[in-house]
This record gives sequence, structure tokens and C-alpha cells, in this order.
Amino acid sequence: MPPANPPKVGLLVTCLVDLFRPSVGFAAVTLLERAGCRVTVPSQSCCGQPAWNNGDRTTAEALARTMIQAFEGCDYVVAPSGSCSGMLRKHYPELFRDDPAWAARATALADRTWELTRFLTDIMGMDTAIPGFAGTVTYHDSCSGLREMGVKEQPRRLLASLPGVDLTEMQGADVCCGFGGTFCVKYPDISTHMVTEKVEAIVATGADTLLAGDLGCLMNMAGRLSRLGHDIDVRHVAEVLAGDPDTAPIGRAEG
Amino acid sequence: MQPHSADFPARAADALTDPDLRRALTKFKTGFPVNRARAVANLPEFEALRDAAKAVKDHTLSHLDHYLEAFEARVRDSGGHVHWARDAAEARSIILRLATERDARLIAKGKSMVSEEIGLNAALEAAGIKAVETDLGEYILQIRGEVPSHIVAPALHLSKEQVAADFRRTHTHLPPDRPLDQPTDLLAEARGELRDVFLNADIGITGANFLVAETGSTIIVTNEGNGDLTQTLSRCHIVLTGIEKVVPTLADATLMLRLLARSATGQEITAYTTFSTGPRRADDPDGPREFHVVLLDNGRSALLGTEMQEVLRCIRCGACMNHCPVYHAVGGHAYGWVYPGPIGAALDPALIGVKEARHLPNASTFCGKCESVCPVKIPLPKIMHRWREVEFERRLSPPSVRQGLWAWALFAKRPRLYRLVTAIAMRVMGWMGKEGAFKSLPLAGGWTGTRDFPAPQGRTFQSLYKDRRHG
Amino acid sequence: MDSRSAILGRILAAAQAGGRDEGRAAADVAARLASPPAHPTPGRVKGLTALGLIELFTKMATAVGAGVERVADPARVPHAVADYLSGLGHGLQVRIAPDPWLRAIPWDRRPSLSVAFGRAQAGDQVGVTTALAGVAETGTLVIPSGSDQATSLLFLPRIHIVILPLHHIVGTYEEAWHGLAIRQQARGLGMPRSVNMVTGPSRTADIEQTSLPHAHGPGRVQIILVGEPDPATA
Repeated sequence: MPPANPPKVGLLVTCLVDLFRPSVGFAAVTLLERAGCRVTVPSQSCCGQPAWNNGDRTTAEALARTMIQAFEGCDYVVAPSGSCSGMLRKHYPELFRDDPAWAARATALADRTWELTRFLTDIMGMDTAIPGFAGTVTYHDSCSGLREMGVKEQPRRLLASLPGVDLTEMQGADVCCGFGGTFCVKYPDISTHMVTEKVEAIVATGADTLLAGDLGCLMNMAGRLSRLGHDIDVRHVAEVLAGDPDTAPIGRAEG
Repeated sequence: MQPHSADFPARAADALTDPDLRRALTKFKTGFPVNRARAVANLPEFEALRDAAKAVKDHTLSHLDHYLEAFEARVRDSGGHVHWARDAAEARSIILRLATERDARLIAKGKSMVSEEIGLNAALEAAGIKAVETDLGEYILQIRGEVPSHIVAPALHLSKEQVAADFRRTHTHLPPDRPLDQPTDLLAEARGELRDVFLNADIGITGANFLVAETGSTIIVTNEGNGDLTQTLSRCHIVLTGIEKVVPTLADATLMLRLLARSATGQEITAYTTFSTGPRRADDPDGPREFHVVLLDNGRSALLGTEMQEVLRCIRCGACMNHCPVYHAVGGHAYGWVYPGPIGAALDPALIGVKEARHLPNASTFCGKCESVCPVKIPLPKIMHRWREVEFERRLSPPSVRQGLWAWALFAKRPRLYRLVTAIAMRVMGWMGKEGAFKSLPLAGGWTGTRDFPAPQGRTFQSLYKDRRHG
Repeated sequence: MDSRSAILGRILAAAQAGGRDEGRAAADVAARLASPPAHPTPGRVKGLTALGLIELFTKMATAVGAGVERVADPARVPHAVADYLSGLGHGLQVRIAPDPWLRAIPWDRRPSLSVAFGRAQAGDQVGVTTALAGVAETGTLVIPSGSDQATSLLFLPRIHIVILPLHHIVGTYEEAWHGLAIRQQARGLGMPRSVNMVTGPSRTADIEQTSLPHAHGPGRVQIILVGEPDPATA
């Protein structure tokens, strides 16, 4: 039952979804609407995480101000990403610690910012996803989602509600895949080592599809899986929860 | 010790292809973490202890001057001496003076990372004083001329075959055909060699895990008993440690001890925990005649009052590196200095400079595992992040990073331009990547060298969404 | 400026910059030193009877490789020591801490034992001590130095035998500290030179991360509990 006064949810699309995989954004919209939300997509660019992570506070601040203004009218900000939602929730308040007026605005926004699957379950009370996808899947816990945004059992609970989906846990699902934003290009050797170990854990499950909640990690793991010749589909968990079996997996040609 | 942290990428690359190291690290990453998880599960109060320990350390650090003075006064009351060292050179000269005044020829050493930090052994050797490491791992490393690769398990990177070869090369007074195949053979041989050192040392030097202001006690924690033989049998016990190790009371130290071994090795407590307070009393049957404590600053006090202050809560358990996927990949030597892993990435820039150590805080995915297991809840990623800011502010980041950020920010700060440019770029990229992924891409060799790069679907979400709403 | 002043001065400057109330700081520290807050303690010992503590102590000490046995009274101790050593095929020369209670044990009941008192000598194979406390939470022995206790006995011999009166078993480290404070006060002494917590025999995992017993300290720790549990508290 949709609530009488549906909350206005601003979708934080995230750069990677906006640019590389719009289907994740549409899946998020579908799920949020199904959960009874009024979805709005404020005009947006980037949350500033690449600048923040590389120590460029000035640029991060400028981008954060734009985002705060863009989303201030929303009851909630929700992102199909633990990393980008974590940037708003954990780091925007730190960013403005010397600017009380902006700090207050940043904190107010941070308190209303959620990762998608946690928002759907813990805030909107969704307990069944939208059927349509079938397969054996394994789920990787993205670091920011797990440790900054408290995402662990929520996506698994929603996956368990899908009749055709069978979840097999991998060894060390909570171990970093080696993406780490610019880390993966600044220290490619180490990053490759980490993602190779992750790939071994994924392959060992025998699952035919890998899921996660962050597109950065997914592109990293998909890129390594395909380079090593493993025929495993990679998808954002939102696409599966929204019952979208038609979009081609990450890194695969359409049709 | 001379830092090599600026060479981190090359050292890491070597580490990734070293078969002995790979074998050691494969074993390592499932050993300590599993033991720690079990120890934590067996102590339901563990989380409450972490919060209490953090509070104790925060309180102590904000009153560090008072607690150090109280500690000093109690050491004096018990007949001991306290020496203050601003930096590594001063700490070395204090210990050299103590050794020379006592005409010391042989020094037994318990495990001390601060001793590595100040390069003590080389200084003693230059003065003609033989200093022998007595912790088994440290002893092996001293023979090899290596430095520890882990703050708790210093020789974890070595195989028993390597150790056996080192013992054959060094212990030439023993029969050459003796069996050294089993770890127990190696242990027995080292035990025999070091027994004479314990019995004949003029001075024993140990570190300290904690200092207690209430009593003037220094605390060491070991499993081998080497630290105790070092400090009990020699005439003079010198404790070398950092100023941040002090806690107010025995009760506070007890709290810390409940966390230390569980976090480090997953033991409930180590075999030996020793509280040392002053020299031998008049009617004691044994113990050192002299007791000296050398308190080292070496950049620590400069962290007080900064956002990095929290790193001084560290109790050197090593849990952060035990759980770090980057440490698991490259091991400790890649970091190029005394303190590797996440704690090194957070601490080393303060001790050896941001320029030398700049790679260390960058070589992290900010996965946050370290902070989640730290017994005193040091926000390690936050501190690493702060060092990245210092690096950027001081213009020490490589030009590629600075220019890349600048170019990206140019668009990202202008949403309309951003949407326009990205919409075109993704169309082009999507069309070029019809196969689904790129095998190589200009300027993205770091990625496509080992990974395919998934192609974009073609249109941006924002443009599609706009069409859908208005279409 | 001397180093002590320089270091303390830098710490003070940072504290003041951070807004520490200098009017209160010294008093806060004095107050905290005088009465530290109570920290959480392991629930595993809470509500245990004396018998329960003995069981937990035995379980924890055994888990880390110590041996634990019980005798009813001190007169049985020489037999327990001799039988333990004979069982290992070991010689019967023992070096015993100069503790009045240990001295009072009728060692001559077992003439084959060769007994000497004092600190450990280089060739000693067996050290015998008592302990101020056996702490149940981890099976830990708390052994302070003093005129009656030589620290070398805990580390130099190959075998460490601890004769522990049953009523010395307590729940937590805090209780052991409390016991130490009372004892030192009664003797008119402050903190002893050394307080040793011993939990099982010495070991190392420095070769290939494999735990091996008998590093530099004793390879065996045998705890002989002496007495009957007090029926009033059991």
C-alpha cells in the first residue's frame, strides 16, 4: 500500500550510472515508485568524491554546494550506490566543518541520505522485490555500502523474496574488490591483484551472475572477469530487484 | 631506519611477484583474522571495551603532559630514571651514553618497534657494542640484515627453508649436517644461541606496550619470554618507548590488555604480561640494578591538536594490517618503513614527512576494514584522507592527478556544460564500444592493462529521463 | 631549552590551543588518578561460585597448554611435584622461590626430590613458585616480585611449577590488583619491582606463523592447586 503522503525522494543518479548504465537509474526509479515514493531527479553532475578522495578540498566543496542546493527540497536523497551516498552522508558534514552555515545544510542533507536497498527496506518497509529475473547469483558487499551505509542483509533480504533467484555466498564477500576510485589506476598492480582474488572467489561459487550495489566495483569486477575469460554476467542489484532481465549485462553487447 | 617509502610502487610490484611472500601472505590473511574473530566472539564485552579504551586514550592524550610528569615522578620514586628524547638522534645518543658509561659490550634486546624507528642497532654497532635481538623473528631478521615486515609478526614473510639456510650460514660452530628441517629444530637452535646472550648481557633493552602514570610502571607483552629474560637477568634495564604509550592507571592498562592480544593474534592474553616498576629492591633476590626509561617524541607531539591526533591512540596490535587487503597483497616491506599497513599510512607521514611517505595514504581503497577492527577505533581512512589533503595543499601530488582533477572539475562544476559534454561523449563511446567493452583505451592503460573497460549504454540517464518525462 | 621542557611545552601548547581549561586540568588528572572509572569486565566470571571460578580457571589455563592438578593439602605437594617430573622422565632437582609458605611445605616427605631455594641459576631445569592470584577469566597467574619471589624462576628453567592455594583463585585481573594492593599495604610496600602475568607456557609463531611451544621461557607450566573449596562459598 502506497502511503497517503508519498515522500519526495531525490534520486542521486551518480556519475557512473548517469554516464555508463542508465538502466540502473531507471531500475532505482521503478523500485522507489513501487515502494510508494514520489521520485524526482534534480539536475546534477558529480558529488565530488574523486576530488575529495584525492585531497582536493576546494573542488569537492564547490561540487558539494551545488549538490546540497539541488537536493534541499527533497524529503530523502537516495543513490543506487553506497559510495556516493556515503560521500553525502559521511563526508559532506566533514567538508564544511569550518563553515557553520553550510555545515548545518550539509548535515541536514546527510541525515536524509540513503543507499537504495537500505532505504527501500529499512525506511520504506519494502519486503518483496519485483519478479522478472531468474538465475543463481552471488553478491559482493561494496565497502562504502557495508561500512559507511550499513548495507548488508537488506539487498539479500530483497533477493530472497524473488522466486527465481538463488543466492550463493562467495568467500570473503566483504573484502574489497580493489576498485577504490582512482586507486585502481594509481596503483593498477595492487588493484589487479585484489580483483583477481575477488574473481577467484566469485568463480568458485558457480553462480552465473554477480551482483553488487556500486557500479564502480561492478565495472572493475566485470572488466577482470571478462579479461580472464569467465562467462559470468555482472549486474547492479537494482536491475535484478526491479525485474529487468532484458538489459545486457555490464560489459556485454546489447541483443 | 632509512625510509624507502617513496619507492612504494616498485617495491609493491616486486612483492606481487615474489613466490615466497605470496605463500606467506596467503597463510597470513586467513590466520590472525580468523583467530581474532573467534576471540571477539568469545568476549561479548568487546565492543564496550573498545569504546572505553578509546575514551581512556582520548582523555590521556588531552592531558598528556600531566600524565607523563606523573609517570616520571613515580619512576623516580621507585628508584628509576626517565630520559626525554626529542628525536631519533637524541634517543640514540642517550642510550649510547648509558651503554658507554657502563662499559657495556653486549646488549640483549627485546622486541621494540621504536628501536627500529630510531635505528638503534646500527648506532650501537658503530660504537663497537654488540646488540642482539632476542625475539625469534627479530633474531632471524637481524641475521639476514632485514627489517620487520609486520609490527607483531616481524618475520612472517620468511619460509622455514630460508631461516634454516640463514642459521647454517651464521651458526658455523654447530655441526654442518645437523637437521634443520622442522620449525622445532630451528626454534631449539635459536633458543640455545640466545641463552648465552641472556646470561651475559650487560644491558637489556626492551620496548613498552604501555606506561602507567599511577605507578611508574612499564608494561611489555610477549609470548616467548625473551623480553623478560632480557630485562630480568641484566644489570641495567633500559625501556625505550614513545610518549603516547602512557595510560593513567593500572585499571586503564588492564582494559587495554583485554583488547591487545585479542586484536593482535586472537589470543585471550599473551603468555607473558610484565609490569616493571623501578630497579631491584634491596631485598629482592634478582632483577636489574638500574631502571631507565627513554621517552621518545620524534614527531608525535606535533600531531596533538590536529586532525591526525587520533592516530596516537594506537596500541600497536597490528589488527589493521592483519585485515588490510592492500597489506595482504604487498606485505610490509613494500611500505618501506617501520610501521606498515594502515597504521603506517596514517602515522608514517608524521614521522618521515609527507613527501617521503606520500604513497602510503594513497595506497588505500578506503575500504574501511582497518577502522572496523581497530581496538581503539582510530578512523584510519579519515586520517589517510587528511594526509592526501596535506599532499594536495603542498602540491606534492603528481601532475597527472592534479591535471586530471582540474580538467574533470572544469566540467563537473558546470552542470549544464557537464550534461551536454557527457551526453555527446557517451554517445560516441557507446557507439565505439558496440562490442560491450574496450580491450584498450587511450589514457586508461592503468585499467585496460589488466581489465576490459565496460562500454557505456550510449545515452546518459539524465538525458533519457528528461526525454521520458517530456516525451 | 632542554628536551623535557621542549616536549612538555609542545604538548601544553597543543592542549591550550585546543581550549583545555588549565584551571582544571591538574585537578582533573589528580582526581582521575585517585579514582579511575570502572571499565567493563568479562561477563564470563560474573555470578560464578568459588567452585565455578576454579573450573573456569582450570579450563582457561588448560586451553593455553598449562597443566592443572589438585591436591588436598600442602603435605601432598612434594609427591605431586615428584610424580609430575617423574612422569616426564625428568630429574628431580627443583629450585624453589624463597617464599615462607613454600618453605613450610614438608619437601622431605619425598626424599628423592632435591630442593634448593632462591633465584634461578643458569643450569636450573625446574622452577617452583606460588602465585598471588590465579585469574579465572583467562587462566592467568599473577606473580609479583619481592623478597619471597625471584622473577628468574618464571623464565630461566625449562619447567615452571606453580603451587597455588585454591583460595587464591579470583575472577578478574581487577581482583588480582586489589589483592596485590592489600598485600603490599600490609607489608608497607608500594608497587613491587615486577608483576608477572603468566598464561601458559612460552611459545612462538615467528616461523611460518605456526605456534610452537617452548620458546625462551619454560616449555611447560604445571599448576598444582592446593586445598579444598570452602564449603561456605562453594
